[in-house]
Amino acid sequence: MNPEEYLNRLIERREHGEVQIPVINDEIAASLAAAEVLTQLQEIDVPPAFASHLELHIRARARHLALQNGTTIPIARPRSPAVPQRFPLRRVWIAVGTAAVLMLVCLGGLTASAQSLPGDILYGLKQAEYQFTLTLASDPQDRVSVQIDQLRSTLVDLNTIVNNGRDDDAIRLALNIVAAKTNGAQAAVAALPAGSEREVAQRNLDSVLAEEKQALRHLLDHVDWPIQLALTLQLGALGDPVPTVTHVMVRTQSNGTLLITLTGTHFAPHVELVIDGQPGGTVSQSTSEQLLAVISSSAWSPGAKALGVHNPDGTAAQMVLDGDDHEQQGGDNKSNGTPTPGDDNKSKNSTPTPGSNGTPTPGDD
Amino acid sequence: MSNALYHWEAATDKRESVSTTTFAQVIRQARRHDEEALVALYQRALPVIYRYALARLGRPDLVEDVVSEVFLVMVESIGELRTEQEAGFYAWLLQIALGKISRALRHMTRSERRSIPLPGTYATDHYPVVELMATDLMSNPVALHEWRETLEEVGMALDSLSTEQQVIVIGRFLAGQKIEDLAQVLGKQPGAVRVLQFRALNALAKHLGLARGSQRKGKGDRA
Repeated sequence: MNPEEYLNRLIERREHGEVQIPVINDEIAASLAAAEVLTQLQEIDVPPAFASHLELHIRARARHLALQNGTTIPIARPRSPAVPQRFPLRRVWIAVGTAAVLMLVCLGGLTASAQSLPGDILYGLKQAEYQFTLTLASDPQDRVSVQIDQLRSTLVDLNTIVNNGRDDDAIRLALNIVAAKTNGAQAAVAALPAGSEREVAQRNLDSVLAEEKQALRHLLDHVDWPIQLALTLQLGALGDPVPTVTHVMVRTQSNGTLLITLTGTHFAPHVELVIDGQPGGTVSQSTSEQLLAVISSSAWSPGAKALGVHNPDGTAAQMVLDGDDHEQQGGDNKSNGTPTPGDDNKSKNSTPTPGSNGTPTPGDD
Repeated sequence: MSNALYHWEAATDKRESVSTTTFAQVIRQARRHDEEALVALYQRALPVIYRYALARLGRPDLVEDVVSEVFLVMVESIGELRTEQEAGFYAWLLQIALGKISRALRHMTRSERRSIPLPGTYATDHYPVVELMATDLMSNPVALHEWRETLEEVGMALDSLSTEQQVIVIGRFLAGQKIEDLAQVLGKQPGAVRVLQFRALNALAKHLGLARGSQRKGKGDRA
């Protein structure tokens, strides 16, 4: 037996679980060890978030391609001009031709709208198609399926928009649509009567909501601060633990620096202070509910300020401290916005409100 | 869901082999851009392509880009796939991956190439931690560090093999294909594939310092 065949036999025997294998020489032993190293690569796990994110893309692309294939219009064979035509027959042909052209235009429009994204002119047509499909689904079970499919589709649109580098308005619009579809899907499942069908629907919904969370978390790394805030709020709406800011206090210290205290929830270790969308100040202490940071008073300009937190995972929250607050609570800082030493010059207690910082506004289907 | 996909799913969940007929049916459905068939192929091949790309590139962020590109090409070009055999499918996908990986390697400087982070650490400020292993190694930093080095060396060793040799060893040891099936898709006799496998493993053993008298290749040896 030649060494190549012998080595292959040994590999096969090892694959069948034999541990003690007689090896004839060092070269074979070394090759067998190399095969073993390659086999060990199978211990590497694919990150589940990446796998499901890519699957979403593949599904969307497959659907798109299937749609393109499904709407291919057969080319009509041209008629011979030599064939004599009688007038009534000609009118019929004209009518048929016109109908065919109209159909082509409609199909072309539908195909183009299927590829459109929030912010595109044809996206309205796509939404109308969504609505039409929903209206046709009279059975509650069908309605759930349609809602879940549409939610998946809007998630892909959102992802595509971010990957294509579209502007924040388009991303925000896409996120609003995702939020609306999420609510629609949740409502459709809730409307089902209790029973096995509802349980199955709930499992499907849970699965798509998990995909949504993964997709949103993945996008956090690829978007600007305002969109990070909006994504965080949607994650919060899905029940993920995300940061919130409920109270802000700015106090001037004896050394002239400003001490900023942000109170809220779910501040992660290494949380950053963000002032007007930019990292600022030096965080001196942080817990899951409070952040203390110091900033030079010269870095504090007058006017409204948005103070926020940015967790290492990209989730974020902020509270806007407007000019009125300065005037109301820190009379001396009216002219330049600099707080008076020793006083809680700027303090605000509130719950972030949807819309103020890019919150998706759930719409209605 | 079609019958073929039903059987497929049960087998794929357990990473078992699927019958030739089932695989051929799934490929035929995928050529028609059937969503479930394409996803089934993706789920089947993802671990193989991901592991191969990680061994070659080392950087999880780059690997994700490359793997995404490979599978999007798969979806777009599945109609061009002539074979209906699993080994042929892997060979085709690996060829796509090879092209994408080569392009990614050309765009990387040497210093950027290897930075697989340890769990709980950041290799650089830019590359996120990816928990690559689901085994006991995760709780053993020393063993994990050694494994990381081995992975790096495997990547460089694979780089030294010809495309055909890479298709054979990856098809054989990561995708679990038989020599006979690989021979059929490569248009060779099984004996010839065994010879190529032998030479590839020999070369790998030398690069990995497993062969007697061989010198372990330095990490910077590869351009």
